[in-house]
Amino acid sequence: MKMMSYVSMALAGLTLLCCGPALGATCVTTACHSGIAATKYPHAPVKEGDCASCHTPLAKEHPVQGTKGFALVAKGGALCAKCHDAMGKLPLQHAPAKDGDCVSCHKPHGSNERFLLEAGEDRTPLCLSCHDGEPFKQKYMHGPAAVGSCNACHDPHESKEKALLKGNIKNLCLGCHADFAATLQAAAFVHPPVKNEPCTVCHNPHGSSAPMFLRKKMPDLCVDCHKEIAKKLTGVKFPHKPLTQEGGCTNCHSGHYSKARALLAADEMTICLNCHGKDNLGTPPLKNIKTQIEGKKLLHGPIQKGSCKACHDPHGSNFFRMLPGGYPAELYAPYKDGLYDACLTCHEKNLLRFQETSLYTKFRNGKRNLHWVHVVNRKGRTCRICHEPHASDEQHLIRKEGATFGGWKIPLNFKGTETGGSCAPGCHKAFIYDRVKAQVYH
Amino acid sequence: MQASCKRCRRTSVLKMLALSLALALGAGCAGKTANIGPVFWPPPPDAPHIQYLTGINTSRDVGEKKNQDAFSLIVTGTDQATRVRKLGKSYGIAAANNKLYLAEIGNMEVVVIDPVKGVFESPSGLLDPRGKLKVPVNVAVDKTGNLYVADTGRGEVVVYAPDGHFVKAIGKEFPPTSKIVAVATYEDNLYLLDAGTGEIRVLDIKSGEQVTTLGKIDKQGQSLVLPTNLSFDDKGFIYVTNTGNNRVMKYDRDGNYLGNVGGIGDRVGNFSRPKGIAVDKAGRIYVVDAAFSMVQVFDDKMHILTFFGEPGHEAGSLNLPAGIAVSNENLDIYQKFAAPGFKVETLIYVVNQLGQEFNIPRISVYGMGKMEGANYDPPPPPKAKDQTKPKAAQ
Repeated sequence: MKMMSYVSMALAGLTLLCCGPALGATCVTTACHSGIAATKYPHAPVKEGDCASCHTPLAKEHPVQGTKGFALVAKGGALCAKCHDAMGKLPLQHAPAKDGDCVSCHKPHGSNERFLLEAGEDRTPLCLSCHDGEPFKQKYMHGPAAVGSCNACHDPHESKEKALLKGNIKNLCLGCHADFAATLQAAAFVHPPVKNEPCTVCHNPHGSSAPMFLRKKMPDLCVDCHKEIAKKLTGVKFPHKPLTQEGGCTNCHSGHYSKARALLAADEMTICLNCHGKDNLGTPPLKNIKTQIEGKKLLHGPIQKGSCKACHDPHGSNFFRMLPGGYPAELYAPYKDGLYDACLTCHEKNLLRFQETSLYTKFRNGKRNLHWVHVVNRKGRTCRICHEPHASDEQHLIRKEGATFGGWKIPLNFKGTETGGSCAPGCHKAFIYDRVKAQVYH
Repeated sequence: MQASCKRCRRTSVLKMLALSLALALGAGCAGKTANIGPVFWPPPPDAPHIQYLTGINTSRDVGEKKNQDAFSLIVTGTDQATRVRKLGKSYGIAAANNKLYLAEIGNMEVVVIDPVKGVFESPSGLLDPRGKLKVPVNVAVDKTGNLYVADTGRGEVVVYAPDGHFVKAIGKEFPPTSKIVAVATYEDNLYLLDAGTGEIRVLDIKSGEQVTTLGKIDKQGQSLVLPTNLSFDDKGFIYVTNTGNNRVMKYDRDGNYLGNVGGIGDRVGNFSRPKGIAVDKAGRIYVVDAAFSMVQVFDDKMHILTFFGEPGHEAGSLNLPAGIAVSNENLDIYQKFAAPGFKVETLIYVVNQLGQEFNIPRISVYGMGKMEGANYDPPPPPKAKDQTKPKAAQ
């Protein structure tokens, strides 16, 4: 008799165990759904065996062949919203989240990666399953994009910023680029787009084919705004080499901020002499302007103020030596109108116009214009035969050693007086000239 | 002219009285622009550059602040009758030493208008028999204050010292065809415009010796042609108005021809009867055209800028204008005639030979300046299609 009651009780308990859905028995511990919880990071309800919080039974018995035993408690996002914060608080939403399609990214029961995602820290396989992968195959990639840390910048669900960014673009960038932010604050001169526009105006935040993942390579990017410079890059006869070399505009200018004007790293002359103050730079080598001007008594006009660009256009020009107007390249040049426009931009425009003058030059014998005699008359001697272009110890920037005439330097032996002067050059016999009392030459 | 018969003399006296009365009345009205409003060039709605300020006819027009009738005909200080001194028909004018020097052909005099002291004066040398003038047409003042008067009746340039006494007369040595119509000074030289021989005679100011001549050039179209007036700019270039070719010709002091502007025509920038010429500190060239009855203004590159004084205005029109002078002196004295907000930077004095019966003053005074708050910027260039990017430093 007693044996029978134990057996019945055992049988009843067994039945309950098998058939009673909420009586301590969990779905995942039986042989039917064991795999569901077998993940590194199970979904909390799954971990607690609380299948009923999502799945509600449709029939008393389960499983029944041919019918669905359970239905979801709610559809789509509404189901998840029962425990998780609902979407829709912020204006922009990630499409799957908006559509309530949470499971397109999150595995509802559990995953071997955090956040119920299929992908780990490198979200590339997950995100690029919907998003175009082309931008992420560029030559130069932004760190986070390169390693798939999409969520370093983008909120996967919703945001008030465009592109689901986690914050305003500039603050977002400077949040990581904090050292840049600090020096930017202290900078004397800031490139206006850096001050007023988001970084993405110049940089592609994912990557690009240009160094520093600029949207376009330099100088194309720069001339989009600096249109006048564009005119100088295409089709000038004498371009400035750094513009076409690697680094482009940044060979002289900083793209972001600087200590000196015009976004230069230092004052104008220091920048120029960085290259033009060396002995063996380039083929053929650039003339060392530093040795030309160092320690000299007289500097040519604007050089006194540390300006090279008063005469030489740093972006290039259509004239020899990137000058603002014509200037012959050779020692001798037959004179014609406009040949010396570069010099006459500043110097007396009528200097070479008249054979006789008492007004336009002090280099005259009586009224006989000796500049005309030398430059305009006969074969035409250019300014460089007598004058240094940058600096000299002699008055009027006269060359002490003389112009290079092949293997020789033609000395001038110029001496100035109050009303004139004299030259005993290697070109002709010694002549004296006097403005007041014209010398007679025999 | 003396009328021989009594009746004619009486008539001419009556005519003169009537004319004087008309002049007195007219003179009393001229110079007052009340109830008319400011007269600007260019006219509104453009931003104004030139305004007609006032006119000078009598000593009252400069002596308002001081003694109402203060004048001194003779500087020597002898008996001065207190009467209002009226200006007669005039031609040339010069501005220097805070004064205006006017060649009064009609009165055969030169009058020195001093708006600071508020008086009209005449050089005492006019009383000197050697210094008596016949037909004074143009005047100039050198840097020490000597006054040079080109007198075509005498065929000479008469020189008076700063204190007014007669110094000398230049011109006896010139050929009989010579006719000095204008005079100018620059640094140490005196420049006499000889319309008779078609050249500029350059004299050393101290010695009076002729140094050279300018204006006759072998190349066609570069020589003076019946010149009438000349002026220097600050840089020492010479501008001469020529009746023969209706052009202003520019030369340097070496005599090199540097260009011209004008030509006969009725377009702006052309001349019909160019007369007086003046150049201001900014290099702007003012040319009086007697036929068009206006002054045309050119920039330092001899491009036409504007014109002013043409007939038709209630105030500010010219009538057979002749001489012209520009000056930066005494701006404060004439600023009060300017419209509120219009700041005068350069004063322009134009001599009218006729028109007093129409309230045209003997000397019309204009101010070149700027109106506060007005937009003087050139109009913006036409917009390019793509304006999305901010304009960057070039």
